[in-house]
Amino acid sequence: MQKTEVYSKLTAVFQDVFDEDDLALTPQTTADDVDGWDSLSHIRLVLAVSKAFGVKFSASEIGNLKNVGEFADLIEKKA
Amino acid sequence: MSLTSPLFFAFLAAVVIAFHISESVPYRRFVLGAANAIFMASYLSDVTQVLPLLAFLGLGYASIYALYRRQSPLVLTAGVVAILCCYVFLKRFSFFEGLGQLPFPYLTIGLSYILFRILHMMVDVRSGDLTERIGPLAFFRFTCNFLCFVSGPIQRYQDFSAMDGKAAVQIDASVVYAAFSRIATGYVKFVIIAATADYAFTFVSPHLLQPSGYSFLKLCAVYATVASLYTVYLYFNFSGYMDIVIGIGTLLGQTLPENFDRPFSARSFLEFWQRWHMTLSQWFKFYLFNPLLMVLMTWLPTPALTSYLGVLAFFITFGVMGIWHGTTAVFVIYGLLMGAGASINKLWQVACTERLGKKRYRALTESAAYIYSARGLTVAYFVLALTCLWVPELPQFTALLARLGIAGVATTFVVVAVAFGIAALILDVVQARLRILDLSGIKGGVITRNLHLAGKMMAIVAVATLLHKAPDFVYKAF
Amino acid sequence: MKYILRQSALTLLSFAFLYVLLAGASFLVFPDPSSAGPRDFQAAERTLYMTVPKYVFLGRSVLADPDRKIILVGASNTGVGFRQKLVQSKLGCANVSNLAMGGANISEVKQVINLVHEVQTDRERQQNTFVIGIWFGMFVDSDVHFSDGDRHRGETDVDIERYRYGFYRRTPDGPVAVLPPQWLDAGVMAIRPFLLIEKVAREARAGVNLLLTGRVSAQRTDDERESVVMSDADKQKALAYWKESMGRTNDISPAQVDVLKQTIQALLSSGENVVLVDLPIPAWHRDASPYEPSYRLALKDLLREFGDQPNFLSPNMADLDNDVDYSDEVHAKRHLADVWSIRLANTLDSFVCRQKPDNAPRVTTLRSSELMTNEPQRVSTVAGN
Repeated sequence: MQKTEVYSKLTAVFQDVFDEDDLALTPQTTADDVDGWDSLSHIRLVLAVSKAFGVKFSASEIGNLKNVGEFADLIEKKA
Repeated sequence: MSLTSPLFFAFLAAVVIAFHISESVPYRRFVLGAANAIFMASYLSDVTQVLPLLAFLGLGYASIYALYRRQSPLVLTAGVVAILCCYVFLKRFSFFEGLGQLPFPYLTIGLSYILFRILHMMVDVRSGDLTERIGPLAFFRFTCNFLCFVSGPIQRYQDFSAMDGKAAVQIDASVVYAAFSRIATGYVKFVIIAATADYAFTFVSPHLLQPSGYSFLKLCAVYATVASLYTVYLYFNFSGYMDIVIGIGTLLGQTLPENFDRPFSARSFLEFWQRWHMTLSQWFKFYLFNPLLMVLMTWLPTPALTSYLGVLAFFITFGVMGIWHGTTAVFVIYGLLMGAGASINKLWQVACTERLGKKRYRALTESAAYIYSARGLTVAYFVLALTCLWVPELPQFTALLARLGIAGVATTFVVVAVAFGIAALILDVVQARLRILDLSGIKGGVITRNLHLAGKMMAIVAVATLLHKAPDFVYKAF
Repeated sequence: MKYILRQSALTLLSFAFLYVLLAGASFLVFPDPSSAGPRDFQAAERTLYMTVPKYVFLGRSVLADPDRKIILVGASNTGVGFRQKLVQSKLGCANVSNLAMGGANISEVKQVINLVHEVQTDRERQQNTFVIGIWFGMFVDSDVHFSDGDRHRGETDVDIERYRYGFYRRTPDGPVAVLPPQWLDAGVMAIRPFLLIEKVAREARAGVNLLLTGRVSAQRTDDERESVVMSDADKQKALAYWKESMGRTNDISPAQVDVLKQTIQALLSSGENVVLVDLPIPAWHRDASPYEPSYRLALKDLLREFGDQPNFLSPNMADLDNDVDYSDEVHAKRHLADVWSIRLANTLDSFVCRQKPDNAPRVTTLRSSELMTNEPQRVSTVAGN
């Protein structure tokens, strides 16, 4: 899967989970930058991403994600 | 081996010198492995005492090996159940007294932390995160690393393996000085601050636990003092220990994970747990809270339920963490109190966001009044919840609560919250002033900084001789 | 490795520098403590040692000389009641030292005697006269008496001093010497910097106390003690206190009586003089306390056993029991202490100074310290009998 494709799909998932239509993602975006991205919604996000891309994440992958860039890289690797 | 015994320093010097004699990785691995074995042996007076621990390690290794062969959920479940049963049996949890016990005394130090390391390896092997084959000796070096043996930090195998016997830290003059300085600071915390707090605690706490003719306000004041002293003791004892261990790690080419990140600067209870005993809370987040929440959310996918599922997951996670801390019913209460703290915090965040909107809530949390109130409340809640750790027997615990009553607990909570909030504010202001002064200050030259280090050592020795009991490490017991 | 060794060397060097600096300062503030002569160990506060247990433990080498010595041991009422300077001024033939320790029980008294023996040769030991001051409050088992949270259960103040600087190490069978007693003075030299730091810390605390409360310590001064009159409530409180501290309901610890018996036995058989002083307490306390009868019985038993030995003496002070002469339920006021001191000096003068060395019992094949550490062992008779 192309990186741009990952990002556009990922942005849609984020907008849906955090209920914010003008949410824009960059590789450097972290939980601090997105209102409501906390430990609970993180799991909801992971579930939504898993469903959207058809991939599975392991416990340490979920726990170790630091920013959107890492998330996208991981998806790209798996999808 | 006690951290403050001369034997420990001799042992340490020998290990560091032996480690640096050669750069050969197999040689260094041998040195580290031997150091672990000697360190463990120092707790034994008889070989039989180590057998249960070895059996536990053996079971862990066998489970991991089985998971390499078949990465099935069934094997994982069977392994986890077996390990947990074995652990509960060896730790003699009071809930399971009927299980019986081994007919001889044995070593349980380190067991709790070995449990986390083994479980983490099993889960990661099963999910494919850990593909590297772990040899029995590497397994021993990881699970029984003498630096982390007594009380963590809980490392991940992947991080450990990357520097096992290899000089992961490039050593130069400033790195070595920083390591020495950190070890000295650790001892200052451990021997001076924590031990003094403990000294005061042992003198004041009997007044609280035995019936006395205190007036209501005096009772609250004494409770606030005792609870605060214990918190100071716990933090400086534990974080001092971590400074020592991490500093030594640097000298042995290892970067050990941090366990504390200025927890008392946390602005919420949830943030507090991101800063306190970090490797433990992270472990629980990775391997219990997240998977649990994922299961719950898969069953109940409605977004509106998110925070309620979160509350449930908090209670379960902290409940388990509480039980891990100790073997009596009071530790369950401790876990539930922590779970309640996290839940209240989460629900508050959700409610505020709904009411004020994200932007206005964020603006509110940036205001000084909110920050210091939140810091005071967070710390007060933690300080009072820690009562469970120093009154671990249920009859005593309920007696204390009965004497204080709801009003007593509430008053003490407010007193601690206000006192801490104000103290934090003053400290921050003073620190900001000092920082301005510091810029024009003298830079630490070789002589000044080494005299500073020697001064710390002098103070440590002086205070150590003042105390009648050598300080012990508090988390060893958990 | 190079960097680690270099940093270790720098650290050690800096430490040594500070150490020498402080050691030098300690000599400026407190000149050499090891000069010979009798010592008023009760004046520990004014020395580098600060407390009596520390002074006794670290400063006892002054007792290692061939002169005749009178060594007072006991608890605080021995310390307060027998004033070293006064007793000494009445006695020309011997050096007087008061090694009484606040809160001592009989076991701790025995330890103090052992500490003295450690630094003395057999010959020097022959010159000792131990004055043992007792009252019923000292017959409490160590496990009961020394049980506060700040110490390992049962460890006396002497034990604490033994372990404090690593001169002894703790073993399951009790303290074992790391530093041989004959090296004591060298050991004290080595720890002078730390003694100085502690001294400074204590002085600073006293300064803070003075600032906050207007007085140096919570302890009452001699003048204040002189004017005390105990109320009935004070008396009840005192009785309740002892009831709680003794660890038994109505008698003193038989084990402590045994320790005292063995201690006296061992001293007598190694040729040392023993003066056992049954210290008076105010009459009201004596008459109201449930511990007095068993103490009387034990004392009678002791006197029956040792009373007729030539190097044993037990002066009678029972008449000095007037309530108003005591500042609390145990301690003599200063004016009474003067009376106690003179009476003791007179007794000692005829017992020690008039005693010709030739008449003194001459025995000792056994070292008393060996006898005293191998407890239940008993010595049957003394050759001088």
